[in-house]
Amino acid sequence: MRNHHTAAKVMLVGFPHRQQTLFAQLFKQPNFQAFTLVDQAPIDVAIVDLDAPQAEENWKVFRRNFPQTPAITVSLTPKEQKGPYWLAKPVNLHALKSLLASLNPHGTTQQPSSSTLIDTKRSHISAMLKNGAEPTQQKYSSTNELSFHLTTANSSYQVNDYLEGKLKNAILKTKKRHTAQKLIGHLQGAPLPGDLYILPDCHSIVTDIKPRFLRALSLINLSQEKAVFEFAPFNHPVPPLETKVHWQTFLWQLSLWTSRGRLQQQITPKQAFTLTQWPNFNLLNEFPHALKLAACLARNSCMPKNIAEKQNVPLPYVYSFLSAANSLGLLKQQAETISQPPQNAVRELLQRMLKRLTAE
Amino acid sequence: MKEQRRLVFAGPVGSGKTTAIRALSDEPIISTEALISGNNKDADKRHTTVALDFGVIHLDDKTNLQLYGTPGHQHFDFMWDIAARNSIGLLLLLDGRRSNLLEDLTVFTQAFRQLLQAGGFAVGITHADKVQNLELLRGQINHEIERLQLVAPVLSIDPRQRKEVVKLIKALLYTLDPSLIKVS
Ligand SMILES: Nc1nc2c(ncn2[C@@H]2O[C@H](COP(=O)(O)OP(=O)(O)OP(=O)(O)O)[C@@H](O)[C@H]2O)c(=O)[nH]1
Ligand SMILES: [Mg+2]
Repeated sequence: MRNHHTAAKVMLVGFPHRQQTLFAQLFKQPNFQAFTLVDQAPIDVAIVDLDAPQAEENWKVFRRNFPQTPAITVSLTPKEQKGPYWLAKPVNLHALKSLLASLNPHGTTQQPSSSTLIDTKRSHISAMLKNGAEPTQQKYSSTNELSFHLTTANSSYQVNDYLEGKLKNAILKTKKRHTAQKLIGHLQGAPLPGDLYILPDCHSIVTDIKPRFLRALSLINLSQEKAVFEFAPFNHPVPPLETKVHWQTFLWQLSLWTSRGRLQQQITPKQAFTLTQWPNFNLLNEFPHALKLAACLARNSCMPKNIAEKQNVPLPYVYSFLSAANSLGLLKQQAETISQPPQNAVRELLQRMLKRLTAE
Repeated sequence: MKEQRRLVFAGPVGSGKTTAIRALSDEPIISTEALISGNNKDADKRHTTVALDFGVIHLDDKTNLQLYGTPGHQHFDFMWDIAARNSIGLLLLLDGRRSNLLEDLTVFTQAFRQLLQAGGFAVGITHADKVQNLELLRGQINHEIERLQLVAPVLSIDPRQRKEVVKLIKALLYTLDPSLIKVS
């Protein structure tokens, strides 16, 4: 049963009758049950057709009546931007659904998904994200938990198909050439939702792209979607932007977002790996199990499956750890070592210390 | 009587040992700091530890964890042995600004080699905000640790930030026993 009290109220603006019927059918599907179509106030989100003959007029009327309501605009080709969220026709239903979910003020905090398209109207973005956007944060994420709910059966990914791989290579280049680089590209013809630079001097990334958008960007598979991310040398003074973090901090987080519990294809699950050094957890997101995994892999070389079993850590965490460590260049393949179970006389004391220190 | 266990903080002068213990301790620390006389290039640094710093974490009603800070000056190194006795591990704080940081690492791992055989070991790079290339430095320290046939987490830490000191200790605990379970 659809719950009309908690379902997000969605209004269609300017769509021809036939498409309205299609939407009506769509919203009856079980995977859209968090939303309900309405044709009058109150509404939570609007979907606006920019291809309609009176699109301009429709938009004006809509904004006059609903100045605060978030809107997803759709059109065949990019139009003059009306707001932060735009989807190309034919609308990708998955993208539509996750965008609706992310804009639903009553919903759980879902992030816009990979195919979500976002424009560059900074003023709109900042207005909409006033609550969601975090200020500059060292760890560059609001929570240290990872999210695996989107993980598919496909448990490996080709890092070079993602922003992660592009960034990793660009950082290597920056180190070598000592020139700043800028992220350029587009999302189905629409501009990126902000600027991002790699700075050679202080080994940092500066950006004004909000974390939730970065997370969305990190999930875009460039081999499947009409999006382009490239880094180009930037020979002008880099403007001060709101966020500046060490590039390891940034790449680690991006990696965790992209991985979502999947393993990079370069890392063969049948081989054993060890850490060349500990990740610098005072700069990096210390997600659940991360210290434990680091301690194991700094001392031993293990196959992912074995470490998961031995240390009782869910495999997705192991995969994410290995993927992020690999992006930071901390991973080395090496014959598996048999780790003797620690016979620690003071284990019980250590456990109490950990409990006391974690309790704060 | 409560059981007393111990953690030792070591490192060269001004690397932040007293600061770290102050950030951690449940009680005001007992310190044997003396005023540094003469010109000192570090404007912040007016005191130096001459014997020991002493702080404590009340683990629970059975156990206290004593935090011992050793003096950085080598002419007080007889205190190092005293502090190391019965300790579960060594937290070595290295001042990232020092050009002879790798020598410091060798000196201290040598001086505390007995403790390192039995206990845990973790390295904190302090004053990291003034380090030009932190990745490079961390790489060099790791390389040196490997050469000394030791294993240790090397994290940058700001000893004024309790959270960062705690992270280094947690890394040390997991190094001693990766099978520890995080209970929250
Ligand atoms: N900015 C910055 N200041 C630090 C850092 N670590 C320590 N300090 C400062 O450096 C000064 C020296 O720190 P102490 O804690 O006295 O050093 P110590 O290791 O006890 O020195 P000795 O007792 O002389 O061996 C203090 O003013 C600290 O606040 C750091 O990572 N960053
Ligand atoms: Mg001191």
